[in-house]
Amino acid sequence: MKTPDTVRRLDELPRDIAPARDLWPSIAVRIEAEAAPARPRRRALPVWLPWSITAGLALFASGAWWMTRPGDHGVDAEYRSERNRLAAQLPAVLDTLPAEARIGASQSLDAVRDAREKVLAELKRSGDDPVLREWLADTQQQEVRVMQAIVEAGARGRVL
Amino acid sequence: MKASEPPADEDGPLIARARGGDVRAFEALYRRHVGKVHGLCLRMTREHDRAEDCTQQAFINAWRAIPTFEGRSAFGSWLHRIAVNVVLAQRPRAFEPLPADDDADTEVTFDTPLEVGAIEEAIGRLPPGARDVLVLSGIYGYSHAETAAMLGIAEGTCKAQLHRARGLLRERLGLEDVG
Repeated sequence: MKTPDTVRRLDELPRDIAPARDLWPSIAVRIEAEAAPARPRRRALPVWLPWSITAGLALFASGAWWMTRPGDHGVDAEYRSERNRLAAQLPAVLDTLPAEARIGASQSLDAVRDAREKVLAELKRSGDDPVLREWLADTQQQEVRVMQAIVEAGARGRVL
Repeated sequence: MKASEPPADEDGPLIARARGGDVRAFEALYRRHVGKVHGLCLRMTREHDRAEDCTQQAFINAWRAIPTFEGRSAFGSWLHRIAVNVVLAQRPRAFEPLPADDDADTEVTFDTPLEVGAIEEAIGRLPPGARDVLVLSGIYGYSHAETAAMLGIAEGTCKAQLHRARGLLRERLGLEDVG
């Protein structure tokens, strides 16, 4: 029991014990998913986004039903482009993440997409409500942020 | 501030940025503090997977709460309190209260050098209540008052648990006959 690597007191035991794997990617995905509702509004898309474009985002997200509504055809190309770009990378990125992080990432994406669908459903039910449109824009921005966080986490994971 | 905590002034700019929603700054704080938070969780849970889960949840809770962090305590201590809450929340609460012990303020000291692994193993076999107090007070250096506050127990109970832990450790490490 007596070796050169010894301690005499409990407070000489190491306080730092690093986890066996990097926990940050999983944490990053979850806090990004929660960022928008938990903090003052931070917009990934411009604040000046006009209502017509917001309606266009809804069109993109909700499919054929929304396309039948008049005046909602101003789909935001920047948003679509970014979303499509990230969506194309996601399958490969998810494969690079540890199982737990992958599950967490998928759950986060599901959660934000579910939120978006609920807002869309409420918009469909209640008509043209500015508050709901604001929420819709938020959830769509949040979805992009989650996707960005996953892609960034995957990139860092490959480097580490 | 505990002995091995990064100085508060080093955390300060990162905390300010994280409070404003800067995830990169919060990541830097995570990298500075994850070892101690995970060490605490591992010693309290004694399970690697659970310790990692608790560590993750502690940092997520910290991110949620950081807008309310006012710097009255060191950031590391604040993180530790969050981590302790996470560990306790996922554990059935079942420790029995013990009477206060006037002799419990004695520093936990081993008279004979021991392998770190042997001590860690003995700590791991302590009852949860005694182990929590020993980890927070004996290893991480929190006072009885701080430890009691973190664990939600009376200070007298904290002292009694430490006394109990110390006795069990000595017994299990075969130190009772060391002079």
